[in-house]
Amino acid sequence: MIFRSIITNALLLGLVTGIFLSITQQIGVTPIIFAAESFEQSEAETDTSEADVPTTTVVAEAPAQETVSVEQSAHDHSTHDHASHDHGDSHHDATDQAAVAGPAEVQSTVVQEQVDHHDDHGHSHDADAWAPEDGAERTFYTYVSNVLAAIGFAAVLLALMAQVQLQGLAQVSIGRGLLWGGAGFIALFLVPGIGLPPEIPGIEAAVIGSRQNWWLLAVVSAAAGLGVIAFAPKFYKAGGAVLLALPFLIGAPHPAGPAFIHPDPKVVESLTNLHEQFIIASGISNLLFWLLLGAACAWVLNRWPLTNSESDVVRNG
Amino acid sequence: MSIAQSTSVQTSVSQSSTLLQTMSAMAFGVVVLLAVGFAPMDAAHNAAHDTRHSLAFPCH
Repeated sequence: MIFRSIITNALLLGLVTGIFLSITQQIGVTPIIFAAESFEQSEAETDTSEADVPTTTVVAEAPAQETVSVEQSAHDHSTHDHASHDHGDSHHDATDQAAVAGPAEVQSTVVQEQVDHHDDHGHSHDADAWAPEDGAERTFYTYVSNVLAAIGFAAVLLALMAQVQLQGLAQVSIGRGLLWGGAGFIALFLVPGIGLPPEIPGIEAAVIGSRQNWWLLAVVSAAAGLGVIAFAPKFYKAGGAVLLALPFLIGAPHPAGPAFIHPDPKVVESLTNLHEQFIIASGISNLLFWLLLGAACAWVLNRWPLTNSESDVVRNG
Repeated sequence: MSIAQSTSVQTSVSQSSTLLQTMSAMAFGVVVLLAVGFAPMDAAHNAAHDTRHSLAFPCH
C-alpha cells in the first residue's frame, strides 16, 4: 500500500526535518523577526503616547529579545516625534501622520482612534484573537507549524519521487535526492522569493490575497517547469523554461510606496538592514532544510515503501 | 493469450491504482501545507506566524 507508506514516512520525516528546520530558524531567522517586531512595538508606543494614553500595556507587550540598538533607535524615534508633532488636535495629528505614512494609511488612520493604530501593523489582525505568548509558547507553536509544514513537503516530495521511480523515469538515489531537495528549494523559496522576497513584520506589501495567488502560481509553475526540464523529452524541455518564466511575465504584486513607512529614517535604515539579513538567513535555513529533506526522502523511498508494489509492476510488466 | 491478457489488465490496474495512491498522498501534503501557510483564521495565522515568515509564505 503505497499511500500508507508515503503518509507514514512523511509523518516521520516531517517530524525530524521539521525540528531541524526549527533549530536553524531559531539560530538565524526568528531573532530577526523579533527585532523587526520590536520596531512595530516602538511605533505603537509612540502613537499611544501622542494620543495621551497610558503606555504601560503596550510597553509590557514589547518582546524580551529587544536589543540595545533597537532600544536606542526607539528612544530616538519617540524623542524626535515628541519634538516635532502637534499634541493638541487629534484630527490634525492623524492627518499629519497620514501625510508621512502615505495614501494607504489615510483611511485607517483617520477612521480609527490613535490608540488602535498599532493594530494595523501588529502581527495580529484582530487584537482580541488568540496568539501564543512570546517566549516558550510561541516557540512551541512555531516548532509545531514547522513540523506540519515539513510533513506536507515530505508527503508531496515522496509522492512525486515514488511516481517517477514507479514509472521508470529515474531511480532516486540519495545523490539524486539532494537534487530533488535543491529543486524543492528553487520552486518553494527561490522562484517565489525573487518576485516576493521573504517579508519581515512591518514591511509594506500588496494585498494578501493577490500575493498568495501570485505565490501559488510561481510555486506550481516553477515545480512543473523543473519537472519538465528534468524528465520531459529534449524537444519539450524549452517548455520548462517558459513555465519558470511565466509568473514573472505576469509580475508579482507590489505596493507603490517604499518598503517601510516608519517616520524615522534611522528606523527605516535598521529595518532595511534587518530585511537584507532576513533574506540571507531564511535562504540558508530553507536550503539546508530542503537538501536534508530531499536526501532523507530518497533514502526512505529506497528502504521500504515501494518494495511490494514495485516488484508487482516488474513481475507483471 | 488469456494469460497475457490478464497480465496486461493487472498491470494497468496496478499502475492506475499506484497513480491514485501517490496523487492522494500528494493531495494530503498540499492540504497540510495550505492549512499551515494559508489558513486565514487569526488564531491559525498567529500560531504559524513565524513559520510563514521563515518559509517566505506571503504573510499579513
